[in-house]
Amino acid sequence: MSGQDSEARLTSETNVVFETTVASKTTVVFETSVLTAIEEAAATAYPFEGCGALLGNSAGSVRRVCASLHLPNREEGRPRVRFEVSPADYLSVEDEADRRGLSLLGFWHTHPDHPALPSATDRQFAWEGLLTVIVSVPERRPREITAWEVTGPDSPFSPVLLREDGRNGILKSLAGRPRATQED
Amino acid sequence: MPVEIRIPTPLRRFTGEKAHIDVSADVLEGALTALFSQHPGLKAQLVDEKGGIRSFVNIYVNGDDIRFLEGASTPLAEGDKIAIVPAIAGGSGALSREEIARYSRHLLLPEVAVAGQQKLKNGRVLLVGAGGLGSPAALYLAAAGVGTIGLVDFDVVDESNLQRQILHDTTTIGQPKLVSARRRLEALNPHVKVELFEERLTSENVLSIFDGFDVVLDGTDNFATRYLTNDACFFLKKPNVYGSIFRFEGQASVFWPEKGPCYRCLYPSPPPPGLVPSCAEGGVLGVLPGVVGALQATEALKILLGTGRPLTGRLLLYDALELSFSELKLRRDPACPLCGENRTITGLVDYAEFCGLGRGDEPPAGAEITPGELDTWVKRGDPVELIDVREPHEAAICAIDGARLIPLASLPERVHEIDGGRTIVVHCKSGARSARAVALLKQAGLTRTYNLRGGILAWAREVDPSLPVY
Repeated sequence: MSGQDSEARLTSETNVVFETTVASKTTVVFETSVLTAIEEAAATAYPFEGCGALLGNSAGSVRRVCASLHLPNREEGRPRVRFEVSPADYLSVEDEADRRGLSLLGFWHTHPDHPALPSATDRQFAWEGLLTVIVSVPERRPREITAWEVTGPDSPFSPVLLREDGRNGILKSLAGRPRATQED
Repeated sequence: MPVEIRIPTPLRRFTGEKAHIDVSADVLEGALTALFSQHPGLKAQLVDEKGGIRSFVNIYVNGDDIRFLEGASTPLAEGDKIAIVPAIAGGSGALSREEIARYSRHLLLPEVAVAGQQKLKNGRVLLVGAGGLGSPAALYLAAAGVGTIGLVDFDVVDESNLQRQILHDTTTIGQPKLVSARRRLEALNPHVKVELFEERLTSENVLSIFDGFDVVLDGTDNFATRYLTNDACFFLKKPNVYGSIFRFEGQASVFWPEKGPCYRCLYPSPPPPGLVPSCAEGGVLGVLPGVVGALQATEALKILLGTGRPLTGRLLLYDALELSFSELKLRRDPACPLCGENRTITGLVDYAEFCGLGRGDEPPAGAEITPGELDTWVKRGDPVELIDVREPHEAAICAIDGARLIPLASLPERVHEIDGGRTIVVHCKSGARSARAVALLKQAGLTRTYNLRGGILAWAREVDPSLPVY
């Protein structure tokens, strides 16, 4: 056969999961109560990954998130490093969005003891049109929050700018944020 | 039938933001075809190249997953509600703090780093055999953080294993090797999941056992399993990391279907029983499988990492006495019965019956006697000539009284020494070499020749327990 047999080299697949140089035009604005709800759910889920759906409205490139629906992590094998939303839960989320007259904007999940950067698995399951929001939870305390979106079936994640409603500047960290009293 | 299809949020950009589409169809497939003709952009989102529903999409009819109904042929009734549901999942897939500390020397290597360590964690390696080769390979793969290690073995730990099978120890003699192996691997690295298959590999179970693994590591001690492993890897297109050992010499290669040759390109079919002695008969330097098994583990890790140059198309030869490594170039054989141009092997073959090695050490049926029968003959004073075809250093360990030593290799030139007027009984350690000797003597015209079933080991067990066994 071909002499290439013995010359074959393994090539590491270039798994570019995300790039930070190309920012998306999208901006996500969280209502304070939503951030508080995510923070609590994220801490409760620890050491397992927590997850939930984000409901709100879109206007141009701005996504305004006004509700988080906390969902059970249905991953059975390795819930410390994986999450899964069941199809039934997905459908109930869309029903709830319809009932409230809101849109499903995306899903959030946590990375316990790991940075809020998307993994290859996150990219694999990302849907164009749904935001991927990641919260890092070192030692039970939610810290970083990041959001990502894909623009095509093979495109890497682009980072999305986050803001908290009524506050100036870019939202990066949940830690040190003034505690909100309002509940969703 | 008029039915309603519910479109999930991320796909509504293909339906002009409509959440529900009405179509008319009798089966699900027809409903989807109607949907795609109204909204062509949806098809590429939902259907893969082979025409099946993408794995990241679930379809429900009235709340039931179609995979549990009749799939694309699920019949529809008026008013049925079809829902397209995107799979939502992900996760850090991450290394914990403990794992980062444990694997820090890997994380420092740019060729491994965090991404590579995660590949190892997601990796699944199956070891066929938890013996000489499987022991060092399993230990290093577990230490390296391969997430799932499968082990196939059905043997128990014997004292004579401990000279080289470092997964096991004195306290586990008599236990199943898998029990012993799991204890050792889990103690070494609790992050590793150990999956056990305590069964003999056969054409019946091999495909289902291999199927879930990324890499198969061949640490077998017999040809039946070696050929089965090679063939199953070919049919499943999985890399087969091969290693073998004998006395002071070892071999290793990677047989990777479609990328290089297979084991049958090298040796198209197994040797006849008894021709090639096993380690149980020929002996092996204890550290030799340590070297070869570690090489196999290295290749398995490289395959999981997708880095480096694999030992594909090359046969590595190691000579421990000379301390030399040499390499032979292997090419795919166009005439290979398995992977060549005119394939004659299209299914799995069980060689166990006539390969006769390893635990299945039984010589071919026919002219055999049991130790008990031989004992009776001798005590009765029957004219029996007992020939021991082992090597002199084996006879020095233990021998049956009255046996004449003629090592198998010198038998052809010493046939004339044997008295053809008597009944001849041939023995070796466990019966394989003597089966070969019986065939040879019969060819030479000595037809009243019997093989001592089970060799001197069976004799020691059944007739003379005072003999030391090895």
